[in-house]
Amino acid sequence: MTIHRWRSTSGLLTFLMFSPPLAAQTPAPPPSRSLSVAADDMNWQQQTPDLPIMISELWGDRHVDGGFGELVRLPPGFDSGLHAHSGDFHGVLIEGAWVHEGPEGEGRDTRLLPGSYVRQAGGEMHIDRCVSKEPCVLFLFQYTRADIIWPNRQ
Amino acid sequence: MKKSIWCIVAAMTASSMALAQDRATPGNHYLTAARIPWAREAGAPVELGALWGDRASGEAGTLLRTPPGFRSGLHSHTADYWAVVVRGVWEHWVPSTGEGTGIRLESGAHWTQVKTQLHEDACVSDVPCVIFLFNKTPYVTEYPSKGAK
Repeated sequence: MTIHRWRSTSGLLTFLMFSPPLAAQTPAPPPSRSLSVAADDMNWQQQTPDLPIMISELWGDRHVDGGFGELVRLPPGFDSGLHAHSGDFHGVLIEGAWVHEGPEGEGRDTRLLPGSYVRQAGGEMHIDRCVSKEPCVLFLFQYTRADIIWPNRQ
Repeated sequence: MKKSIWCIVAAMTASSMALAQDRATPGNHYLTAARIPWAREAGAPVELGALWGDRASGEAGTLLRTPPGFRSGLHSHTADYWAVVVRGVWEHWVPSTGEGTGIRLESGAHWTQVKTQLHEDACVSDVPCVIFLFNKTPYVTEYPSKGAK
């Protein structure tokens, strides 16, 4: 056996030794292609220990740029105080009554009911309030990672 | 030398403009529920309310309103979508896999649907259903026997 042949045979043996059995190479069935989650089964988590905001992540990763969708639940009477986010977001109210106020007071007197929509530009200060007796649930889609910018920390 | 400086200035200006364009946003926008621009969808007893974007051409957020008892029939879409129920009770299921069967989706419930997979939807409440839909790529509804819509 020449060296070349020995290498070929050795390579073949190595391949066979470390290759999974043929049955294991059969492609696994595709993961679930459609997901339905009832309202009571949503996975809610506190956004941060110091805020009474609960979030339920729907898709994407809120810790990195690239876009994510989530539900946000605010308790009745919630007032965020003036703040901003780095990226634009699209918000749709699902439950409750929401006030989304701009830095000049715009929107202060507009009571947003379920189905209402707000597009908020990144970097611009605003205030969110839940003015209903029941919690407010918002759908949010944001293009960049989630963050909160407070006026005194800019 | 002068030419080189002008080239550098021109390159920096172009770069700044590109950066500014990247950062440009469409600004703030409010749309109260009472002012949703509902539009009847031809051939179906449903209405669409565009919140942002044009779903036929790319990323969009859209509300769908249907009457109580609405049944979609088997259909699929050209894009993946994500949905949240705003009002009413909805059902969404994939007959070929059984996914979603028997799950009542009430306000705040969520589902996703991949493109081209046939599925059905129904509004099973006594009140109209309002659904929020989000898609990233061009979204067209297709029926097995009726073709694209």
